[in-house]
Amino acid sequence: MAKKLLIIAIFILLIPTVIITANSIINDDMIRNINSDNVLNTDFDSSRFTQSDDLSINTIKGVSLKLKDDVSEEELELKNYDIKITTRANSILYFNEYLNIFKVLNKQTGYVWSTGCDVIKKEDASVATARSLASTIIMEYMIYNPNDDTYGTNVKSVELNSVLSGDTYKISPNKDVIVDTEDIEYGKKLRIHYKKIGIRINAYISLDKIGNLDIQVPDNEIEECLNDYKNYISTLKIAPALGSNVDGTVPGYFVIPDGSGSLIRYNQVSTTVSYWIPYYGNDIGINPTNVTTDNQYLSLPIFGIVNGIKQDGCLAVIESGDTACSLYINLNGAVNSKYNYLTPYFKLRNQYLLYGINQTTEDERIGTDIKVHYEFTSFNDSTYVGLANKYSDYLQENDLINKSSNGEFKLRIDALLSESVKALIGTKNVQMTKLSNLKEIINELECAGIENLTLLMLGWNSTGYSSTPPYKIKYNNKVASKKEFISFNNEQLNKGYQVYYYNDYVKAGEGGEFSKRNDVARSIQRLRLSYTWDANVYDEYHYLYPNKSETLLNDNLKTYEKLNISNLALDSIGTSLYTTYYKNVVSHTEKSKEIYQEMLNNLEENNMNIALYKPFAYLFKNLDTYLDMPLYSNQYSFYTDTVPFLPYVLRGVVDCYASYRNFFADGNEQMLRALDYGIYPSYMITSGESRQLKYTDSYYLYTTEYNHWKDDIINHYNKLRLGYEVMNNQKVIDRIVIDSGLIRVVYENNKSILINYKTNSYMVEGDNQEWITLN
Amino acid sequence: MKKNKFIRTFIIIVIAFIFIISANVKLSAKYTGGENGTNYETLTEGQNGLISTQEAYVVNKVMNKFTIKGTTDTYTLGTPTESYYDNKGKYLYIVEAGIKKGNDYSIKPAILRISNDYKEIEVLGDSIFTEPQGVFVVNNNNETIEDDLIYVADYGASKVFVLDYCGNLIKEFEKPIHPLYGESTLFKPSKIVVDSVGTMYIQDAGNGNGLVQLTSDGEFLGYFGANYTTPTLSYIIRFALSTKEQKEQLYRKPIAPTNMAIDNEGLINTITQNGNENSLRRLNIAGDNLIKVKHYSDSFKDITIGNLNNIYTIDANGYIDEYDVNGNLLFVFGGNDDSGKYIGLFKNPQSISVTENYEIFIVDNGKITMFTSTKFCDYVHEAISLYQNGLYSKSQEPWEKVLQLNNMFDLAHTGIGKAYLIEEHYSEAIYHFELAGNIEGYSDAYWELRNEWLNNNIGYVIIIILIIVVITITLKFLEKKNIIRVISYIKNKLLVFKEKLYKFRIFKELGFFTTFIKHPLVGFYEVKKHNKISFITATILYIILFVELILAKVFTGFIFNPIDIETISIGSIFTKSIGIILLFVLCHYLIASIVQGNGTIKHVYISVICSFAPVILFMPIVILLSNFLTLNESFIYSFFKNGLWAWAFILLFFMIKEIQELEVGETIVNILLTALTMILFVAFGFLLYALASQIIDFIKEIFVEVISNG
Repeated sequence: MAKKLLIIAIFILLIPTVIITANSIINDDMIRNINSDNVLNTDFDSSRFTQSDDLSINTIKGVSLKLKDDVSEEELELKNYDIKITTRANSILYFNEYLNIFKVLNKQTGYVWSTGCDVIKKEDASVATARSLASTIIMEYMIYNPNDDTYGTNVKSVELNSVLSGDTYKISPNKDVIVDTEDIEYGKKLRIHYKKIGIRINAYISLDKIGNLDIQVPDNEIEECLNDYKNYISTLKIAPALGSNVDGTVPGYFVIPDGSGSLIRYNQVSTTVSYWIPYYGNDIGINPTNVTTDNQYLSLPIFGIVNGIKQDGCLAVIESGDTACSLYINLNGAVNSKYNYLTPYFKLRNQYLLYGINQTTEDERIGTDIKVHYEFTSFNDSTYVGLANKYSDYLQENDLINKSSNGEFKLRIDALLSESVKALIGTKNVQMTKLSNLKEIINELECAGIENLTLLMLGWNSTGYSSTPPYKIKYNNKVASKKEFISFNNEQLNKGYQVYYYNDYVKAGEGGEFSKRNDVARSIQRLRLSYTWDANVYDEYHYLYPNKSETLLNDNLKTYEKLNISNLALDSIGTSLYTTYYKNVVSHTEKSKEIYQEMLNNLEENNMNIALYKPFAYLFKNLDTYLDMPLYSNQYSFYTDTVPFLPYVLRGVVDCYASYRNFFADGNEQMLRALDYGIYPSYMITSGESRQLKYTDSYYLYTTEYNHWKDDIINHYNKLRLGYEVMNNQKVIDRIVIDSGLIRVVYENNKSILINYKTNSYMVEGDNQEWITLN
Repeated sequence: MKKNKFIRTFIIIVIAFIFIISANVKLSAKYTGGENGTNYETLTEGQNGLISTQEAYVVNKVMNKFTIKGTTDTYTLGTPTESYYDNKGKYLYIVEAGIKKGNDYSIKPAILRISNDYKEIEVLGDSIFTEPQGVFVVNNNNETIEDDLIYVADYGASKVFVLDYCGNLIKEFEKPIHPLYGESTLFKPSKIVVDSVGTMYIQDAGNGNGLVQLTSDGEFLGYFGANYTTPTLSYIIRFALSTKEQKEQLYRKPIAPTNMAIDNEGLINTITQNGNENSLRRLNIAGDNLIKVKHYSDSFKDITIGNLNNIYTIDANGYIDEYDVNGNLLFVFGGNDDSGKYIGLFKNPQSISVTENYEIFIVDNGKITMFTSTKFCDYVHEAISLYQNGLYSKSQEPWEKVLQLNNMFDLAHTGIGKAYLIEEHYSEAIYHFELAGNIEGYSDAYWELRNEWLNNNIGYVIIIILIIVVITITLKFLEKKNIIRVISYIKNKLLVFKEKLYKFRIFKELGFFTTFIKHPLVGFYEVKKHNKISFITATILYIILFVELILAKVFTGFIFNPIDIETISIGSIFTKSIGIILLFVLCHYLIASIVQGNGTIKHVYISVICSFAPVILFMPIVILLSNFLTLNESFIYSFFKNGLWAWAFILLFFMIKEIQELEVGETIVNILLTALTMILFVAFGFLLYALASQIIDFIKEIFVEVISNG
């Protein structure tokens, strides 16, 4: 037995060594450093790229188990020790009855994940941080002010445990909270009564068959205003201590699903405050004036923790309550503590400014259950690539996504057909690309060897592309006749190309087909969600009620069928989620989410293919094509890396296309990134000059002319195709950063691609300087 | 019954306000950055304001911790306030203002020298300074880096210190003693630059006289680059009406330049926070401004000069601008972020520096952000470099690359236009100059093209003219001899046609319209006495004038009318022409009927438009002419155009005299009174509008208050 363990230990130690040696072999043989002076002039070591991993062994295996045999008599009396509750395939669940802390032992690696810390050194954390880390659940409540029958904007936090100062904090239960426990299948139910606040909640903590941890707080078991108290529950934080670490002690990182994905490596960042980022972006239905600089979203309801790269990891999936959740990020330096930790942060009740003036608190909670599912990974799976694969599997197993990709390399061409422009009197239509021109373009591309196109038609309606959705469902007869359009669709379908038609049923433009009086949504503040922008023609746009969006779409279905349109590219629906108000009823984001899901379901039942722009995860189920895959994150100051997390989740399941290559300042870098991330390129083209768009609402599309881009499209396609053939729709199993800007992506079939972003610094053997394949 | 009516009215009013409220609560949205992984949008100058473009600079790193050179100690930036990039030594110098805790410094004020890998730091002169604010490094030619001199402007110590490379104090300069400097004027140096002969230009905080110019020995040379104030009309009126004491208070001191930089040619570039086109200036030795900028900020903080004498500035809102040497805006990017959450946005930016590789450093709130240029930006720089050196043809290739990436980049069109012009491809040049909105280039190319055409066709033109002359003379001769009667036949036919037409009153009246050219006084007399022109015809003439003015906007040649049709607003043409004329008609009638005058409003209405007969009749010719003229002949165009209007106004004068039966003096008084009335009308209109919107706002607020509280 001991021998076996020894062999395993040696093996574990060998893995990083082998990898490091492998890297150095590549370095020596195939790559020459040609220009070391130039290295300074690059941003490869900025957070726009992935940095190399610190593969050192993590000696701190989470928290230590405090078994009954090891504790002092005093602790024995208090029941301050961990007892085993249940054992499942991969893990064992322990419970500390005194502190109400749960610990999960990963049987494969010996790592212990804990919902609360029972040992916290004073030098590492302030009292406030220590209290948070020691508690499995943290509740914040709104304090009732009896004088004027209102709730202030300040919320107060209450933890399950309190701490007393000492070299090591002494942790004891919070006397104002009564926690009763009850056995449930493979876990425990905590009945938590905040007696001085008058709130009661129930939490269910259990292991599933494999050994993954589930924590649930059902909404219908939350009780408020007990014993004459009138306080309201505001937020819940779940298991902040899980995966937490003192900065400088653990090699690893947090995985944030921001944009394409980003990492926060430990020991590199220090901040002064905590941050929280809402999943699915800011809710304009609550705070419509909050203009944000963000251009990416946390589009997946997950976060990842890797403590010891290729050693231990945890993927947390917010299965329920995601629409009300933010990711709370607390890093070294914040609140005078050295701890890094992440926790989901659920907002259960809204406060808002009625008519933009009066501070108001909603009487009803938002009414969604909370469920967080933690999956633990071992060894090689414990990287962001492993976590992405894990989440991809999770989505497929739970039927949250349907595999629609055949893995063939494709090129997306978006043709801007027509646009509106101001005329001397009224507006007129500018035809940017006639259907006959588009046919010629397709022909030309086919002759150049491009075999697999996905087409997206913008401005196919009579009012033109921007500011006029939802469109009147009618082909623009100045672009081509209805008959020509229909035969065009059939022609392309016969070739196996998808032709998507653009429309938007959520964000309506001033010139769109909707009722300004009935369809424009009101926010919880009771104000219309109408905005203006710096436009040339139509400068207003409106967000519609989700159910109105659904009606508008459903009403159009028959017309689509008549026009032979079976593929729709829907804008805004993928990235919009807001609370609305209609006739004294507030409809929360969860409801909006359900309506949007229903909308897409209905489309699918009508045999429509759906392409969405950067859709949030809850719409993946009906997704056929993912458009405008982000290549970067929001570039927050505390991020250290950009990684292809989202692309790796969707790789091989759904066809993913990058945003238009036209508008990238460095086309080469974008090409390599697409190859690296495994996503397909996209172009926007017009046969007319881009300058014709100058006075339209598409004025920001400053380079679209096909003649300018023809060569680039053909070269780009041929160059990339070779790379995609190597990938052959294989899963990525590893992504190694050999040096900043030099990346090796390893596929399941053990082939790999070496991508050289740094062409002015490194030379790669062979003709192609930018990337080579390795077996 | 009355009560019912009252309730109904009340309900209607309430409904109206609900409508107004729901129509007016609008929110503004911001256009956020692109997909390129930046938190800001990059813009460039277009003909009608800023337009979006590819990213020019991306954040490379954000620095605030360094290792002190030769040790393993870490240095964390305290309050960095100014930076200077030394191109020779490739060092970044930072002014550390220090952090004070009580009476002691936790970080001492010093000059920091950051190595070119941005990891190591040297702390210089940390026991010398009180409140250093400016730094400048002088490399002496042909000498090693160790001979560099570091000039430091110390605001607190009121001195300029000169340090050697190692940070030892060599010299210091105090307040210059000179009668021109003034004894009571304080010396508070905050920024400094030094030219190649050692002359110091010092920004003296608050000294509005300009930059203090000192010789290398510290002698006062004078003030340089002062800003001038131009008085506005209201200022002049106020000044004229003030007492002596008030005048002293009104006397405005010019604002001192905020910051400055010296370019490769030794010219001083200054920025001033005065929010006009003189905010950014490039001064020659005489202190005259050489550039005119279209885009500027009213809160410029710092300026620095790049390799190509391209000017970089940063303003208090975190926007970084890059201009070419002529003041054309190349890029603007960055922005404000108080949370410190986003890289590439700034909270309280202090300083900007740029390296020879176009890496930009921004000093902000305890950190230094480094940007690197993108490929797109490099193409632009390459093209500008060639273009500035006069290698227009060579610059064409990089400009084409720029255009492929951004088809609306005007400077590229100008560059390519120039290249074509040099290569004598005039029509291509014209195409690009027109796209760029470059009138001078267009005019030059058009002149060449016209010249070419004339050279090729002058023979034919002369022959055709000769043939026409010969034919006319022959016909006339034959006519006289009664051999052929072509001309009289045509004349007769025309007369018959004219008579047929004149049976319709409108045509007859329109025919009479030409009288106003030949015998205007007769014309006015006929209008008044015999109603020779009817109200309907006059209205038609108003419409014709309006249409002609629109046509003038659409069809006048590009050189005299460089606008796109899409930007023409019929409404504004109407207000600026017919609107004003109609207002004149009204005001004039009112004045005349009160003061003196015998004209009816109908007569005024009719005869006013008749005064514009020269414009109405000859405008098409001017429009046509404008298409064949270049800037060289622009005087012809403006002579005709202004001549027509002047003629019209003279007719207007006689019209008033004639219609209202006034003396010359009375007419002048009448016109002045009319003008005053028009101004009053406009002012009153604005007042009414402002009041109405105030009232609407007020009622809206009450309404919202009632709803939200009730």
